[in-house]
Amino acid sequence: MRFGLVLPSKGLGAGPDSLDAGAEVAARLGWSSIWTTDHLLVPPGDEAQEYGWILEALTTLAWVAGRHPALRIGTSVVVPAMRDAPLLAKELATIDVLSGGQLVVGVGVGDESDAPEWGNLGKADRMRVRGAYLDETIALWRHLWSGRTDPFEGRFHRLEAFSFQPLPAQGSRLPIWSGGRSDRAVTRAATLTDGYHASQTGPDDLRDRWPALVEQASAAGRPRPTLSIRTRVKFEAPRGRVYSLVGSPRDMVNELLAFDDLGVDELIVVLEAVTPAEVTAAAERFDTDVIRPYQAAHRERDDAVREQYSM
Amino acid sequence: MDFGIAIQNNREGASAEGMDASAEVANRFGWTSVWVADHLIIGRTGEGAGGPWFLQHNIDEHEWILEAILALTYVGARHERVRLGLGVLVPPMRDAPQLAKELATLDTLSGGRLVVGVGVGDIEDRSEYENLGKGDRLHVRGRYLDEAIALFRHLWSGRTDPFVGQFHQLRDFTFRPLPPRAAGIPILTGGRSNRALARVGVTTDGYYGARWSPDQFRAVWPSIVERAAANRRPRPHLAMRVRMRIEEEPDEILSLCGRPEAMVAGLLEYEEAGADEVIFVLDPVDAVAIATYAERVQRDIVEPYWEAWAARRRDRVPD
Repeated sequence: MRFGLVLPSKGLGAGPDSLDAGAEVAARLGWSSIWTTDHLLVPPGDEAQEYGWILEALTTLAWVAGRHPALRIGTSVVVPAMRDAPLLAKELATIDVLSGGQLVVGVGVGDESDAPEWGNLGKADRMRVRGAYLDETIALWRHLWSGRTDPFEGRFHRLEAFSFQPLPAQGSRLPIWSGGRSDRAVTRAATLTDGYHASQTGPDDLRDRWPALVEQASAAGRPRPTLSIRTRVKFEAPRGRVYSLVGSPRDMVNELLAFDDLGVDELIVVLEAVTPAEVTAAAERFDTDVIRPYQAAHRERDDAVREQYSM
Repeated sequence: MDFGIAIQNNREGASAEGMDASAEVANRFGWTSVWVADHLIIGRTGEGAGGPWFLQHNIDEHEWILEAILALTYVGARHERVRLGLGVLVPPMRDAPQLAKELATLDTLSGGRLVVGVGVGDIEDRSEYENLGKGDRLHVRGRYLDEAIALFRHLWSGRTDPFVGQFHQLRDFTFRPLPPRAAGIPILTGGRSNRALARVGVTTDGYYGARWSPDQFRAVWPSIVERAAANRRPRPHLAMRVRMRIEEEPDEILSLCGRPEAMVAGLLEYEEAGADEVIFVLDPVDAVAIATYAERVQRDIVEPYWEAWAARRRDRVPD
């Protein structure tokens, strides 16, 4: 299982130094990827506690791509219906070119509670059709990224006689991962995108959802999607309403082993840290107390299995 | 007068390496700014209002292009001194609230180095507006730009009262972090229409000119400077984009060309016409060719310009 870090692009005081600290520590510890979150103009209140201070997701990725070229970069997640699909196609292709093909695009639809933000962005009307808009977005991106020049005819967008160059470094294989917990989201991940990127999802939730998703992908004649989990890490905290990695380091190691058993390819963590020193310390703590013991336990288990078969 | 360079985010073959090379020469020669162009998904058809050569020129220049803000961000992340200019961004092809956030982010990350040139495109860009789902904006693009400028300043200033415009209404929002200079991020207007020129020194901080000869510009600039003074606004900044073609023949694209001495004289004329900075547009796209050509511009044009500039200054100062 690989590890990724959601960059401290949000939270009071987040700025270029926090980004450098996050990218630097992720690279140094051998983690695979760094990620940004998409909010733009959230209303005051609970949402603003978390997202009121935030750097724009794609600008931030271009910035870190320029400074930390070894890491894969991604959105966790960008919300196309809150923006515009053609512009996003161009922006994402640009980031993929600039980063030399390091981009993974996580996409989502947001939820009803984001309505004030959508209104502020001039996208209130999209809220009702956000699922359909996302499906069309994926089709449009693949059309443009493949180098096709025939017209694109959709319900929301119509493009003709257009130029779209340069193509992304990964071409139309630029990975798109989708999240969401509804049936529709699961079907989208199985039949339209390359990966399932789940948040607020623990091993127990995945135990029901993932086999169904794999089955749908297989029925559609598609390869098994990549499976990634985005989760918050809260050392010594009690279990809350929303799934997070909580409790003692030992509890967390057990959760990681459970994710691994279920086939999770990449675990992407949100650390509760913003300043450079906090970010570095939190990542090092998670690496030392959880990732290394998990890797050791994993190796031991592998050895045990090998021993069993060699007897 | 300062110098800057249009880094190649556009034209076939434009790449991260080429943009890096442009920014590197800017650093090396003390050119103070780098600039990117903004098109997104141009159409291959047009109405021919600018003449068939212009349609082809637009295709040659912009069918291959890296998105402007991200390209500028990437370069800004790797080169810590140069000012970062958009020359020019077209807000009506996008959405102003999202743009406000993207620009604030770039200014925050770069420590306050952003300069935002804005324009509206023209009727030739109809199919690009349509490809972007913004066909309806074409006919209100001037008004949209005016509102976008007002919205940018509203959000960048830290105001939290509602913004009520024709195109956008915002209320109950948070917008943090504020850019280091808050609403003081310089906004320059591009475009050649009377309406475009009327924004300079009134709603914007200066002018970003392209394809003007010094003589043409001398005819319009003094009245713009006077109007700003009458409005008690600072003297507007003038950035002039000039294509440099050493030892080449003139063509439809207005450029400085021919003998180096004539090009040096041309730079002095731009300065006399009021330019605070000249932004060089160079033809090469490949990283090595960019560096080679920029070295030639520095040696054959810029250094002689500084000599001529110093000589003039000596002549004018009585001893």
